[in-house]
Amino acid sequence: MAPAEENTAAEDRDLVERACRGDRVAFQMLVERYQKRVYGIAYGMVYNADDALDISQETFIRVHRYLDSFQGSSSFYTWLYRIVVNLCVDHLRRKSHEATVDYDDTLQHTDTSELQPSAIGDPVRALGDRELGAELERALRQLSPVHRAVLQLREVEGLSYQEMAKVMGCSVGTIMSRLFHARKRMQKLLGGYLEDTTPKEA
Amino acid sequence: MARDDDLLMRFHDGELSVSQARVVEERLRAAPAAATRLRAMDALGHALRERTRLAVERQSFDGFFERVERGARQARPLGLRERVAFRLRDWLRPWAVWPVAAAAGVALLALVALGVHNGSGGANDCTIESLEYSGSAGAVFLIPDDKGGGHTTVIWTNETEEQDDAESH
Repeated sequence: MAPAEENTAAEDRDLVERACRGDRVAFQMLVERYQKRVYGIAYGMVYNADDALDISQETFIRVHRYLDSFQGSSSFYTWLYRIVVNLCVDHLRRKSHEATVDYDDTLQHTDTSELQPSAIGDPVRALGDRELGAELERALRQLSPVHRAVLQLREVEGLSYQEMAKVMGCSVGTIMSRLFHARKRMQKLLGGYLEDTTPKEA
Repeated sequence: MARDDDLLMRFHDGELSVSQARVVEERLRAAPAAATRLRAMDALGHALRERTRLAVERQSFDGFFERVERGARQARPLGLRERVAFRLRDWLRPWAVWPVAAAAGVALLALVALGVHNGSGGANDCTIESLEYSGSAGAVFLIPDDKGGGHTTVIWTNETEEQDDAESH
C-alpha cells in the first residue's frame, strides 16, 4: 500500500529537513522506513537478491547525496521510487543480454482473449506451488524493465496512476497502456502452465 | 485499449469514482466474461504481492544503514554542475519536455518561414490604420528605394506646439 497518508508525508518532510541539516538519526529513520519497500521494488525488477540489495543501497546513497536538491514539490516516496526504478532500469539495460520484449505504448488493443484467468485458479494455492513461483519469475523476466516497474508499483506498492506517472516520468495514459500490456503478457506467458495445475472438473 | 478493458482495469486499480465503480459492479453481475478477466487481474496482483513479500522476508537488513552511511561518506561532494543537472533532469521530465519542444519547433518553423519570405526580396507589408500626433507639425514621407519599385515609409512628428507654448509663457 502506498504511504499516501497526510501524516506520513508530513513526517517524511520533517525527516528530510532534519537530514538536510545533517541529522544522522533522521536520515537513518528515513532509510529504515523505506528500505524494505525499496528492496521490494528492486527485487521485483531485477529478480536477484544480491543485485536488489546493492541497488537499494545505492538508492539511499543517492538520496543522501541529492537530498538538498529534493524540492518537496512531490512526495518523498515518489522521488525515492523514481531513483530506485531508474537504477533498476539502468542495471537491466546493462544486462541487456536477457530477453526482453518491448511494446509500442501507443498501439490500440482490442484482443483481450489472453486475459482469461480460468487457468489461474486459487492464487493462494497456486502460489504455494514452487513450480508456479519459478514460472512466474520466468514470465516476469520476459517483460521489459518498464513493464516490470509498472506491475510492481501498481500491484505491490499500490501507487495510483498519477503517482506512477510521476515516478516513471510519463503520462497517465502511457501508464495505463503499459499496465495493460504487462498484464496481458503475463497472462499469456502463465496461461499454459497454470492450466495444467488447475484442478480439472470431473 | 477497448473502453470495457479501460473501465475494468481502472475499476480493478481503484481509479474510478464511487458512482462509476457502482456502474461497473452492476455490469459485472451480468457479464461473466468481464468478471473472469477481473479475477485474472486479482490473481496476478496477489501472486506478485506474495512473491515480493516472501523475498523481503527472506532478506536480512542487518547493517544496511551502516553500509549506506559508509557509501555516502565515500561519495565525493556534489559539484554545482551536478546539482544543476540533477534539478534540470528532475524538472525536464519527458511529459514536460515534449510539449515545450513541440512549441519551440513550431516557433522555429514559423521563424524560418518568415525568414524565407523576407529573404526573397519583398518589402515588409505594413498597414497603418490610424496615426495620431499632437500639434500641427507632422508628416508621412514615402521615399522610393534606389533599386526596384519599393519604398521606405518615414513618419515624422515634431514636439507639440501647445506644450512649447505653455513652457514659453
